[in-house]
Amino acid sequence: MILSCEHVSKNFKDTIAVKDVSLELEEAESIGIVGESGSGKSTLANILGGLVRPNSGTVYFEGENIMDMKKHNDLNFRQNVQFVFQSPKESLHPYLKVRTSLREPFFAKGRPRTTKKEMDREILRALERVQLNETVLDKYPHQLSGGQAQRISIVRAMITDPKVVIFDEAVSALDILVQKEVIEILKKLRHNIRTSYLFITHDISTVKSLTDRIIVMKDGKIVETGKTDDILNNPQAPYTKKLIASAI
Amino acid sequence: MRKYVFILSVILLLIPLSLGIVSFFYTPYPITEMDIDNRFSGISKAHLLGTDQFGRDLLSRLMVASRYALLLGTVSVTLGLCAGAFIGVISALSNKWISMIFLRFIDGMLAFPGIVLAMMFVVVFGDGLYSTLIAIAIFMIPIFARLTYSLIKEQQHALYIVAAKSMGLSTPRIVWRHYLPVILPRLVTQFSASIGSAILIESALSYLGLGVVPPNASFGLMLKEAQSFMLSYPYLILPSGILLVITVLGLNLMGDTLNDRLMKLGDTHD
Repeated sequence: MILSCEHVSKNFKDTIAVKDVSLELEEAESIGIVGESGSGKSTLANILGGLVRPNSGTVYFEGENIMDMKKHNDLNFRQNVQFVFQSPKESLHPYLKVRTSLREPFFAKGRPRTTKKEMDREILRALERVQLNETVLDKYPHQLSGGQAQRISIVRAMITDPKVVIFDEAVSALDILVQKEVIEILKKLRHNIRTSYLFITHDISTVKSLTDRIIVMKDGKIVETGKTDDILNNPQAPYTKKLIASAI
Repeated sequence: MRKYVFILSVILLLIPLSLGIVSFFYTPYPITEMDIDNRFSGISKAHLLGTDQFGRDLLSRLMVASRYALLLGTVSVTLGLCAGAFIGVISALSNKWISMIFLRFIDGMLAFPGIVLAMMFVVVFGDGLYSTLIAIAIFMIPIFARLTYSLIKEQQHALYIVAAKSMGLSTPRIVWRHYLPVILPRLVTQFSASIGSAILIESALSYLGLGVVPPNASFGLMLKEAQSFMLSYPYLILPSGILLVITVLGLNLMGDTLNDRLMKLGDTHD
């Protein structure tokens, strides 16, 4: 098991965002966390990725509690759990060219030093995998299309070969055609790289071809969990049925 | 229009700047040289701006005063910017308690009018050029600390900052590589405008006898000396008065145009 949480809860003042949630993500597994806006899925993703501290409960990375990690292991966790955010252009620094933004992950704490030449070689290789050419490297985020920006975000998250990538509504902001393109790229990447994926989305249809399991969340709690095909073909909870119906 | 204002500010600033730079290598007369026979000589070939009550050449003194004003303004504001930005960053990124201690300290300093604060420090450190410089630098610290704090707080939840944190970058790298490019334009604008304020404070301190001390030259000191003879020899007050206005106006106009320009650049990147 690569990433897991046990009885995690998180409140924001009077609002309960996540309530007593436990889940496990295996190596090279892909999970979709699905639910409507406000269901607590993004908060859960941020907790799993170490960006938000839960009020109670524990998060484990490779068996170790991330809140108690010693410096070395904390660096290992930070390098190996990466995010792709919903708004690709906003997640890229507005004043930095794409090339500079893509070099940044190589400067993460605790990483061995990499020369610019090596970085650029890795960047070009990664760009090829997401079907982008090197002309994008000299552009600023505002000069990119939504699809290009999201592919750049994917490259940035995956360029250092992390063990887990959390996609927080990563295709929701894109139009249908670009969504399809990005999903196809992610499918290909899944086949080639042994990385675990965690997809957070409100649209169950976007994760059906990308995930092994689906977790359905409502009001901060898990209402149903199971294999993707089982959930899609034979949903048990009325809320899941509604979600599937709305996606069709 | 903005372009013309910028050009005007550059032209205005070139006057004290060129006088100040030339003064390093050449002044028509030594600034302390007295020519008792030529007191209040008025404008002449030998003294282009005339002489003062001791027969000292006003142009020479004005050149040196420009040098002091610009050097003192730039150095003190640079020191204030560095220290203030550092405190601002620490306050914005530290935990609640450390942040609160820094902020209350900054608020306390901001509660004093600038000139009163500067006078207080000059009284503590003693008068003279270096004390004035340190006093103005200390006065500038809370201004830059507050500005940096609020600029960082404004960006703290921006997605590109969250992304930088999630990548595992160190805090110094996030500050240097991710916050700084965004907050720098505002700091540069404040820097330019603050040099004007610093020069005004220095002049005020010197005018009150707390800044640059005689026989050195400074705008404030020259104004103070000229004040006693204002009715009989009004021309004495004009060179330092006009050059002080030109310098501060040039700096403020430059600050304004830089602000507009850099903000516009920021918009195109958003």
